[in-house]
Amino acid sequence: MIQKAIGFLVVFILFPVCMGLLWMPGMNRKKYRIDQIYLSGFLTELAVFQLIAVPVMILKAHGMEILVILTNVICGFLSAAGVGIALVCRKKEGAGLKAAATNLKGLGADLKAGFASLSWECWLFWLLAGAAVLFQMYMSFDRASFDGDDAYYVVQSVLADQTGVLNRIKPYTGLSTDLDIRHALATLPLWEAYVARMTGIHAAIVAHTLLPLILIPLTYLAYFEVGRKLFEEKNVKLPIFMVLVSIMQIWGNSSIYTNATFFLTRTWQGKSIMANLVLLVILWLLLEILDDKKRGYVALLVVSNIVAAMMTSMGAFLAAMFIGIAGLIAAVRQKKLSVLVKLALCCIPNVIYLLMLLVL
Amino acid sequence: MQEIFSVFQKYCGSGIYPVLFLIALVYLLVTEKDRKIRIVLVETSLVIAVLFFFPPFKKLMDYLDEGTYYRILWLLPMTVVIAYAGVKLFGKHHRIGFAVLALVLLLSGEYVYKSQHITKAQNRYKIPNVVVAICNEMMPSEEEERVWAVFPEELIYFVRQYTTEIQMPYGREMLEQQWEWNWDTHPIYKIMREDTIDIDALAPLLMEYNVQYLVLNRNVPIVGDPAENGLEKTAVIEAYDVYRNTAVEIFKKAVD
Repeated sequence: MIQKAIGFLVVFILFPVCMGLLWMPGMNRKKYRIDQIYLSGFLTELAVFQLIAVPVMILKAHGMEILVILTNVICGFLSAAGVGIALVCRKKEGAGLKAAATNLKGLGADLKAGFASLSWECWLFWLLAGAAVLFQMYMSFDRASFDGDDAYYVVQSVLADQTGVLNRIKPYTGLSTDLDIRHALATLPLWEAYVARMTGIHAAIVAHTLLPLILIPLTYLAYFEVGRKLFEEKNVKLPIFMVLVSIMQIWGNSSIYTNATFFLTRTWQGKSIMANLVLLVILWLLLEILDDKKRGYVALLVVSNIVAAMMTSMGAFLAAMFIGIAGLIAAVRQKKLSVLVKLALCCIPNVIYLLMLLVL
Repeated sequence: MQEIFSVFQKYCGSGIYPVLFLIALVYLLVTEKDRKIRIVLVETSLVIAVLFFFPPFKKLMDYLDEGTYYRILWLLPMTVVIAYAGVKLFGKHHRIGFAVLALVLLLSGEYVYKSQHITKAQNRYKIPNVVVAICNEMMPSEEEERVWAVFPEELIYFVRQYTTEIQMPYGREMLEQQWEWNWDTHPIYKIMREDTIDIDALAPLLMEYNVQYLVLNRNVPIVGDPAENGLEKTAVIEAYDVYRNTAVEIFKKAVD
């Protein structure tokens, strides 16, 4: 139980929150937002894992132990750096270390003040939006969704956790095999094995029960960020938008191919995270980047592209295509080639990844 | 082109959300003034939609990853565009607007939890309890090597999600008919998938593939005597009989 609690605290709270602080000076100097800190920190944690896991997996067949150690060391270092950078930046602005330390405390007060200023109608719609998310989380916990792909992806996680071998055993049978690079470069199953190692929870439980409880609210956090760019924050339109989005997710099972179907029936699979969380985050970041020139959002777009590559073999291509089209249109509309160049540079990880996919 | 329309139709299924998305897109194209929203939500979506219906683009995608063309449609932010256009359209009449749009979405959508693939979870693994019980029955001890077992096809998907201590001579690759290169090729599966299982034909194959355990569904008739073929029944778990194939020993782990 203690391992579960500590592992959960480290992987899902400490690392994301502290690493999220890395980007805050480049995103919102004056007022840190806990929602942006957590979302960007979580993505950073995944991207760091992808960058470590690919070389470890290629170089070392029995690499799970070293993968866990390296991930913890580097995430630990980046977490400390995140806290350090946030403190230093606040100090530079003359706020002083003490003020910097109380910055996070101030978030609570901001939230309280924000809630107090909401109209009753706004409250009602926010309650409805919250209830819809809680309902989806409850159903993900209480129901089991059968998907044949789990016999591959979840077993890869179980194998990495139980045997320490990285992608060299056939999931279906247990026979040894060569590295299947097309599937292996998308390392999400290994990250799920890492969560299993850190928490001591069986990898199938991590995938089927634990992760949906994290990924569902996290995806709605990304919707919230998109909504904030579309509407004023205290406007009733924002919670209405959130409720409508929830309805379309819950009632979006018109075929087995839709984003919504993947979101609520295969929440733990890379394809689902790509189709929902990652593409939404990219949408949010594009809205931010085209709005102003804060570098933190550009950096986070690079991080999101690495995460896209982690999710599915075509993730890097889909993300690059989306960003490329938006960049091209923005360059034409704004008559500024620099926008396209900036967004194209963000896609360098995607190009490297696609080359690896084609060459290896 | 026909093929692309077929992919689109399959993606849409019984729903009208893609139609609502197209309507919302046209509405935003006419009314949206904010440049960043126009670029990211409207014009990017339009270009992606046009590209999707462009046959050479499909050829390129098929070259990169055949059979996943529908994923291009994931790039269309349907939920965001529909909800945003709806809220924008309501204007000040957001209460009645919300009620109408919510009703349209509810009535025209398909409730995901009604899916035949979603059932009440039996445990936190989200694996049928019977699989967990059968696996525990044949789980090797710490000093023993992994074991090989043959399962009825309805259990195959779950076994190795629970434990990798149990290996199988064939797995999911044998069950997916669209994977023609694998499907129906394993000699043990060819016997196991029959309406009546021939134990006399199966037993020599279990020995040849070093299989220590056999699980049979009690509702599937068998011919031949398991005991005469060296199969010793060790457990009955719900609708399944678990047999130990005494002809193949369970190996001890080598001492370092």
